[in-house]
Amino acid sequence: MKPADLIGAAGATSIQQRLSTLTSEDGVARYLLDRLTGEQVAAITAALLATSGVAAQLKIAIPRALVDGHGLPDAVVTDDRTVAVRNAECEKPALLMANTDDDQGESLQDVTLIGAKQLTEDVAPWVEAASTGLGLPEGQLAAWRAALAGLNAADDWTLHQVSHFVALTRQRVAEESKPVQEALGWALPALRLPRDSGYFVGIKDKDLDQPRRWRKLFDKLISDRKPLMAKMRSNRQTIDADELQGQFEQSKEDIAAIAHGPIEVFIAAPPGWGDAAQALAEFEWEADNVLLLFSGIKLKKTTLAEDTINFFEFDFAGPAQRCRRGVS
Amino acid sequence: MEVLARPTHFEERSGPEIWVDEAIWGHRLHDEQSPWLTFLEFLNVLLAEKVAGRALQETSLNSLSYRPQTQLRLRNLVFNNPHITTVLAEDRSDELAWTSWLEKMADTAGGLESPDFAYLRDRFETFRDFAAVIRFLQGSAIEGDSNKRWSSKFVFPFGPNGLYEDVNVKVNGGVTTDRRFFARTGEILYLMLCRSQRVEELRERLVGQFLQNPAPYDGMVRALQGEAQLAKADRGGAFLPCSSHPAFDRLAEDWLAILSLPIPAYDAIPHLVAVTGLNLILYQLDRAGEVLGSERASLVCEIVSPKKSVVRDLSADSYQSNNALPQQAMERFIRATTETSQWQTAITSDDAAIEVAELLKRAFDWPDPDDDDERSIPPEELIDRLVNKAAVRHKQHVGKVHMTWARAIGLSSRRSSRRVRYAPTDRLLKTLVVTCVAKRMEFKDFLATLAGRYGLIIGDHQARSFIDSGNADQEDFSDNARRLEERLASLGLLKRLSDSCAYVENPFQRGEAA
Repeated sequence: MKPADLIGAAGATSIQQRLSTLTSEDGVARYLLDRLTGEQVAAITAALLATSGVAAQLKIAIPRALVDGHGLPDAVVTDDRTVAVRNAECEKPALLMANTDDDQGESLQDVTLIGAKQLTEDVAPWVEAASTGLGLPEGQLAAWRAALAGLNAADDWTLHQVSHFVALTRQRVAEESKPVQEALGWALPALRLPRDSGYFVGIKDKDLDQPRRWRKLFDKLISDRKPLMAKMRSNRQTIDADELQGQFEQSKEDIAAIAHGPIEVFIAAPPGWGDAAQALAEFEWEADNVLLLFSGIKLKKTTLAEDTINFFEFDFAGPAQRCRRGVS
Repeated sequence: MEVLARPTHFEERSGPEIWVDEAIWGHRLHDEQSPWLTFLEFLNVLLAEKVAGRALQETSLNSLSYRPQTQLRLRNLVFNNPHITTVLAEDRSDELAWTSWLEKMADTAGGLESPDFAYLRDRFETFRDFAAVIRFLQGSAIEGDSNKRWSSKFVFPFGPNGLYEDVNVKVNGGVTTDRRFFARTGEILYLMLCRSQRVEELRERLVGQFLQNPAPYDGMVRALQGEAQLAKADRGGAFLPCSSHPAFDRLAEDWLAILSLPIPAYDAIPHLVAVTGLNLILYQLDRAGEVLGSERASLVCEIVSPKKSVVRDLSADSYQSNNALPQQAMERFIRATTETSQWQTAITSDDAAIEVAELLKRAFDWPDPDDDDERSIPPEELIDRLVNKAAVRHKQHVGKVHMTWARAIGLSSRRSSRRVRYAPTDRLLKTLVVTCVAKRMEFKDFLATLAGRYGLIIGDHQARSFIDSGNADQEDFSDNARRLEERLASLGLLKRLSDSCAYVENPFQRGEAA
């Protein structure tokens, strides 16, 4: 299952869930796919069209300009402006539209918005879509949902990242029959984090369905390992290539030989996430001992004077300073 | 665009020790010279050249040589004068106050051959009037409340009488130009404007508004200073490597936009300073990009949001990658030598080490011809050593320009985050509106202008590449733009009309808007 299919399936499931709560006394329910890309809108629409029973309940009118070239049937595409569609007669109980935040954005605020954030935060449809055909027991599904909820609580992620993360997790379960905890650790490169299949395995069974527990673990990954992949210390000082090179030479023997090449490229690359970091993230943090590359990197010592300047310039945003800088 | 070679007069001993950063960006960009001080240095050059009859005219490229004012009487009175408070506290008669103060001043004034301030008694009715004028100038000074030495503090440039160069006044009274805070960035700015396409219009505006029609306060400054004092020697040695550059034209256009507003010149200065800082940062990035052969740098700006967002991360990434660009360019610039035919000839010659040392000496003014150790190092190692040496030097000042200036003009911030990112302050936003919006402009066009002109990425239409690559959702940048819209509205710079169109308005042209 590709990430785009997953977005389609998750979006379609989310809309179906909303449709199932409609009653005959309600007026026409209007849903707006809010500020999604053409590909994402097309994927969701295609998934809805493939679901039986939806066609009777939902009228779909997507602007042609948005989904041109994505192969949607003419029946669900419109040349009318979205504001016109919103007010047009609708013979079905629900209406699905899409906008691209052009000049109609302001006028379309009063319908039910389904945007990237709503889609990523609603975790059940993702797990439902991704687990199709895997035959996972309920305990594993609950753990998966809790993991995604914890992930969302820990940071802000794009639809692209979440869909890739879920797709990779599914791939690992489907192809290698690994438990969900292990597959989630394996899928971490989708989130710009280094792969670590064993990372979540230590969660106790009773905590598996607790988003809070997952969140803590994601928080730790984000604060400790994410900066390293962009060549930064946890306090965001940049790590010099020389330091990494020295550390690599010291620990080279213990790091899996297959990772040596990508590590060299990573060391030579400029700081920040890029292809080199992506390639390095594909190696197992613990199992391949990639962590040794960073284990000796200490925080740079700063002087009291530097700390003081930093504190007053950055951390101590007192009222006087804000006023001077013209920041409300 | 022609990239100019190092002028021969730099081969004197007093020039920079190696010629790398200077060859890329000019002599020189300096982090400790804030955008305000850069602007002041510029005005000094402009005044001196106007007196010499060649304001904003380069007789030949990189031949600038000017004699700035020193105005030591004025700066002693304003910044090296702790006695006024003491004398006022003694609460004596006016006559005694003057006498007491004049005695004290004669002992402590620095850099003057004969410190006699008796002329002031004729120019002020009472000592208290005089004290009030000094207090006003101290209060409106540039860097007035900093802990810099008194000879590096500046009165606000109300007019030509308040312009003087940064100097070091020694304890024995000697005055030297140590280029501590006037480190020639103002000369770079001057040369940039000289080489812009709209230099004629600029000359007229600048001379007319700053030098010929000064604010009334300039008269006060003149009363204190008396006749202008000039430096003892001309200041030469300015160097800007490009004979023309789109960045120079953009800078000139921004200045013209501000100078054509119906506001007094002194109100225009803060905007000129901010926009100069931004343009110099962009010039540094543009040149780095040219050396690296990379695309124009973009600056992803987060309009500060209450919680962490994808845009915040991207903005910090963009800041970090831009911050590293100048050093990468510096390294690339040196290593590019190894791809030349001269290099090939040199390394294949019988005396490769010496030949290569000569080649590097010609290009980068290093190694020292008298240093036999360095001249016997193998070529590759010599290049590495040069890169390391240049990197150490680069990190001291030129490498900090992006970081220091971005913070100084309110472009970057670390508010609510551990990483520095581009997050423009209200003040900078106002300057951008004042500069880019002639009368009024539709909000989405304003976003497109900021991106097209400066590479500032704020809205979703400009962030297409981030959205298409999956690094952000359209919603993230669209919300970012919405936050900007709200902030501009709260600053009185934007109106949303009943047809749902949002307009950005130039507050100084509001009366003119249709």
